[in-house]
Amino acid sequence: MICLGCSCLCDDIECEIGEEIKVGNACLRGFRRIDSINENRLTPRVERKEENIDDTIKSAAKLLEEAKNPIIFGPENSTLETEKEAIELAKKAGAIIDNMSSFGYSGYLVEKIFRKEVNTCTLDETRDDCDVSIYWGCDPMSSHPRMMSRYSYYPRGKNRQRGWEQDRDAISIDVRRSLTAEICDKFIKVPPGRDFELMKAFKDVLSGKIPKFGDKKSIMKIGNLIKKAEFGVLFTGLGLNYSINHIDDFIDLVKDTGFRLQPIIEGIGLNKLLFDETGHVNKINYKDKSYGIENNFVEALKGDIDTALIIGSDVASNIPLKLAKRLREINCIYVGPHSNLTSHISKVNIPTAVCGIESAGKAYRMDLKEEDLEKIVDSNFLPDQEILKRIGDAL
Amino acid sequence: MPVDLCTNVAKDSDLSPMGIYRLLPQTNCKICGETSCMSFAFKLLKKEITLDKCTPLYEEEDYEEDRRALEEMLRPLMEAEMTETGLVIHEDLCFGCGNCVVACPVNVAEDPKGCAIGNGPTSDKVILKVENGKVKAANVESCRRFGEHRILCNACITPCPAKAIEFPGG
Repeated sequence: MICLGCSCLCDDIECEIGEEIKVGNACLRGFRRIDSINENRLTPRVERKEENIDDTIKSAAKLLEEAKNPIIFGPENSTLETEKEAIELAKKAGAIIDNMSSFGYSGYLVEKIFRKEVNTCTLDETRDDCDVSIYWGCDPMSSHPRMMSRYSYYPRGKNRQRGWEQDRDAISIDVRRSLTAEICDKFIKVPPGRDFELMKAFKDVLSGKIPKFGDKKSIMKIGNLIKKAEFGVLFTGLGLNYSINHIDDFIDLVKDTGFRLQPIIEGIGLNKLLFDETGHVNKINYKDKSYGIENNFVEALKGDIDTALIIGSDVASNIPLKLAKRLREINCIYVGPHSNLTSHISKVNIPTAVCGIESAGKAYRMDLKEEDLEKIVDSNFLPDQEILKRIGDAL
Repeated sequence: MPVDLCTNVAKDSDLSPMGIYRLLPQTNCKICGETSCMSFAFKLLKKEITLDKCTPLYEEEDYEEDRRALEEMLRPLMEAEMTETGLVIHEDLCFGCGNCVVACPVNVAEDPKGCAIGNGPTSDKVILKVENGKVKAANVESCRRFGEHRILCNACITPCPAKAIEFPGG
């Protein structure tokens, strides 16, 4: 089966679901996703009262219909069909649609990649050819545990037969010694907000100058390693988003080094679908077809949003407390398989099947490789795409 | 604030030939039957010779402190003989990333189309395998750390970010 626990979409998972759940090859994150299909499931509720699923869908449609400024957020770890339905629903309701990629620069980098302004590569190419991988402001060992063992560092590739011992180098750049930094050959610890100076230092090394930042000898050593790389891949994450103020300079650096950029993000399917349709990857308002920072979920929450439809994303746990409180005040509808903080503060809860286990579909890996997900067990829950379609029909 | 730049270099762990050699008399007296103190250190680590063969360590007072430190250092190595393998996996720390599964040279040799290219194992002969989100060991007898011609392989320890794999026997 294919695991939808993160955007690695591992396709070698062995799974037996009977009285006891046995999962082979999946990391703890993937295993818990499968193991928890019978735990902590969401019940259909309106204003904390239990209702049947049809009534909850009707109430959700009513809230969206009455809304002046609705927003649709998500879906994450979901199928392409669900993402298509979410866009259709946003069009019908005249809503803003956004996802996690608008937090920081991930969306911006993804857009650059879609426009082919920055080089990228697939994860299979990374496995076969990559000799230097840099993890800048990201910690795949925590967020995507099998990424380094499946693709970027440990496996023996077609042209990297000697694997991590001799053929590959890994460099981690972060504000703290993360789990990834723990296993990388080299680690540069940068104070928060000073990544720009490190970027400048690398640029100096690339043009043959002596860097003016940090331990010059080590920076030059790493800079030369970057210079000599035959097939370098640069992985970026949320850490980079918050500490680089000059993202275009960063893109220039990537171009100068000839590295391929691979942002580690979730929910790239929605970004791709929106890009094909509108030319932008997130922050789109279907009411007036506008695109801009004011359509970012956080900015919108600070503004005059009155209804939010959140699909399979526990966003309340990831935003500041003040904004989470604001989410509680507005009409919030949560569509997802499990109960969490977001479902707790929502007015309407609509339970769904767990994608990739209880419902089938298609999904994109983080490098846009399409994978077919199978249905493994039967369940009484409806798939997310059907629920979104029914809300759309009821509008 | 200066940039703190750290490089991960394999640490010269105490239980290494060099670590043992530092505590030996380093006189190359050949009383133990070896040609040098360094070769005695190697044999000690492979458990082919015992510490009491180095009589000056026990006889001369100057070496008493070093001898105690050596005995302390070698104790886990001697105790490991009692257990079958010595490979310990701390399941509470492991999160199933599979780095060790892919990095283990035996896994790679036994399963070139599975473990070697990053996928899950397809052969039954592999030593390490991830089950239910935790790594499990099997076929430990084929590990390079066991048997007559054992070597100090640390291919599964170095890639573990959670420090969940340990060989207390050294």
